[in-house]
Amino acid sequence: MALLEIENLHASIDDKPILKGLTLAVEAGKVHAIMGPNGSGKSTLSAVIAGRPGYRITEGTIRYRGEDITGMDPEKRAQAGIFLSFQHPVEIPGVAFTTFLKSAINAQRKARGEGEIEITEFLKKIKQAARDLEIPDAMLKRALNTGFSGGEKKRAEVLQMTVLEPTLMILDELDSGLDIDALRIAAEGVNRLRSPERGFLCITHYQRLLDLIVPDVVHILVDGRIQRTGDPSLALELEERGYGDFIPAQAGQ
Amino acid sequence: MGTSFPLRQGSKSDMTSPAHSSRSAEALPPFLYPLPADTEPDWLKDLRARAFDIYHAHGLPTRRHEAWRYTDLSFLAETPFTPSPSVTLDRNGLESAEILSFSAPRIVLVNGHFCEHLSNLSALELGISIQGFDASPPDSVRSALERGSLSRALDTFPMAALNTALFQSGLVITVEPGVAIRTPIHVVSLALSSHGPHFSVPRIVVHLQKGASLSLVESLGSLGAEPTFANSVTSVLLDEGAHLSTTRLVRERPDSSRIETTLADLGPDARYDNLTLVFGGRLVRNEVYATLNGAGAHAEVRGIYGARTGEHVDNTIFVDHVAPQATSGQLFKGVLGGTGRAVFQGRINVGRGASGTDGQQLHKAMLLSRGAEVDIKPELYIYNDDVACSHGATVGELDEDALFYLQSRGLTREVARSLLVEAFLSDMLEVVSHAPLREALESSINTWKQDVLSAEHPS
Repeated sequence: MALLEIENLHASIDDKPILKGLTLAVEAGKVHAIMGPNGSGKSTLSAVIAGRPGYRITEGTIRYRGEDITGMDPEKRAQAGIFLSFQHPVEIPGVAFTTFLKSAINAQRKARGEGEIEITEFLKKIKQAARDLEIPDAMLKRALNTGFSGGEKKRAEVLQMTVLEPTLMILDELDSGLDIDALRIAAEGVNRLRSPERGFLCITHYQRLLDLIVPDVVHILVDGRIQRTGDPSLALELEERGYGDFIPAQAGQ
Repeated sequence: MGTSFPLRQGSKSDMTSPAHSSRSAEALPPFLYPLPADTEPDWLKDLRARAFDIYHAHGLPTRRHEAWRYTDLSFLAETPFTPSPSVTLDRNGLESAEILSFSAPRIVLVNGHFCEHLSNLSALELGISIQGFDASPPDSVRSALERGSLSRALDTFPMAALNTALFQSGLVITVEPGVAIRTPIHVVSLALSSHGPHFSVPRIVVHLQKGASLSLVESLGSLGAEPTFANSVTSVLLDEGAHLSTTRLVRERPDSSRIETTLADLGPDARYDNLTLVFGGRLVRNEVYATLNGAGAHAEVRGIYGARTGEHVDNTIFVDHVAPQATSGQLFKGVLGGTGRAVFQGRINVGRGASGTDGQQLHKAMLLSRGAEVDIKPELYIYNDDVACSHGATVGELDEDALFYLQSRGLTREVARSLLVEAFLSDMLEVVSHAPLREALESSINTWKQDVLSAEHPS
């Protein structure tokens, strides 16, 4: 059984179909990359896996560890171990980053029937992760994502991911808005989390992210469906030839 | 004036008789009784006579009055209120009131009457005088009550005029020149219904002499099974360089109402900070009128409020720039749930002589439900070219993107909503430097927040 199994998924927003029969499986221990042009449905895919409201699923199922999560509340999915790294992390003034992260950990622990995290253990974890991601202490004291640069926001996403210890990670364009140094730091953070129990879905436009987070499987998403699945050489092929060859006849018109 | 001071029957002995029977045939407007005894000094009789005439001519404000267009008082006239008797309260009674809990010298007023046994003034510093009065105010308040701007204000504020015509009990706080009082003073003023619905007219007078400073904390609320209506006035007189900081929590019971009028006069370089929190009550109007009479004066009027189903909160602020180089700020944030109603009317007046004025105003409301409603009326009247004034208002809902972000980390929707409401209000308490007070205020806001959020989305 794969960690994540998506079958014939149709999703629309404002009655406009975006995903049109998408089928995909992500195995534990593997990094799956999804590449696709603008408007192919990449962000919709990450949103519906995480349970974002506003999308209508008209057909198909999303299963996580064998359980149908298609209609599940987003917090329940997070508590079950799904983490979405946002393409555009939301700025929330007035909510302190550290306080927020502690609340999130405790909400997830509570859902698992565990007690609250010891404050010393929490601080140790967050400090270690911040050091690895070259995040200054001052940033931890600021409001959530507020006034963070593009690179800081993405590193803060990886920090949350590190501390929350999810099982399935969806990285929605981790590379957007990052310079090469920040991208390297963020990618190293992701690579540290790779383990036999964990699966990754890495959504990107560009090969350069996949040089740093080397995938096991590459999928090409065009017009709401996976058009091709292959090994990492598929990404290189794409880089050379563009998406033209993968656009189905009726969508290219 | 003064010679025609109206005397009517039953000022003392009829205090507990039903509202309508003690009125004379010529039909006085509601609440205009009982009148004080005729033994007061002439200056006070003159003032009361003028106040009586103003309210008598004006009557209880209706929505036809511009300043009351969004706040309907008609239910007050329909409730059989009688003047509150002089009642006392024991310690258990006081503890059942939702007052701020922090350690400070405390003065308790019940229906305006000073309750010595509940007050604790043993730790008062030198240079401050606190005096409760129970029949007529002492002569020491004369300068505050007769001060031009405070006296003229009665023409504009009929409910303050009503209070001035009637008040017999309250509190006078005076700080001597140059004295900085370090410990905050906590005034608890409660309206208590004992035999049916009661109305009360407490008066507080605060006079800070030249260079004095004081931090005043007020817990205003109500007790008892029946409705109460407090029509309360605070007169604030700040001499040159004086600094008063007032932090006020209003938590009325669901069927109780309060019209709280603050009339402040600021001398040169004086500073007045007013932060008023309103969380609960059928109708609460927080009306602040600050006159910047001295060059370099600064008034900072702020507020946080919440309104739920059955509640109406009205903040009406009027900052009058008379002197040059004075500055003022108005900042209000409110959260509305259910079918809660709120009103914000913020006025900045810049007179001909008020060059170099800086006046700012901002009101932000967050609506948690579609049934809630807020009316906003900003007004700038500027009669001088050399000014910097601004006003702004926003009305928003909880940000769905932010809610999803928080939920995607495992926080329940309820916790996420609570965090966002807290975040919306979080910067408002930064001005409260006294940590125990700030914590007490936070705890009041949290209690209210949990109530309103669970009412929106019962789990």
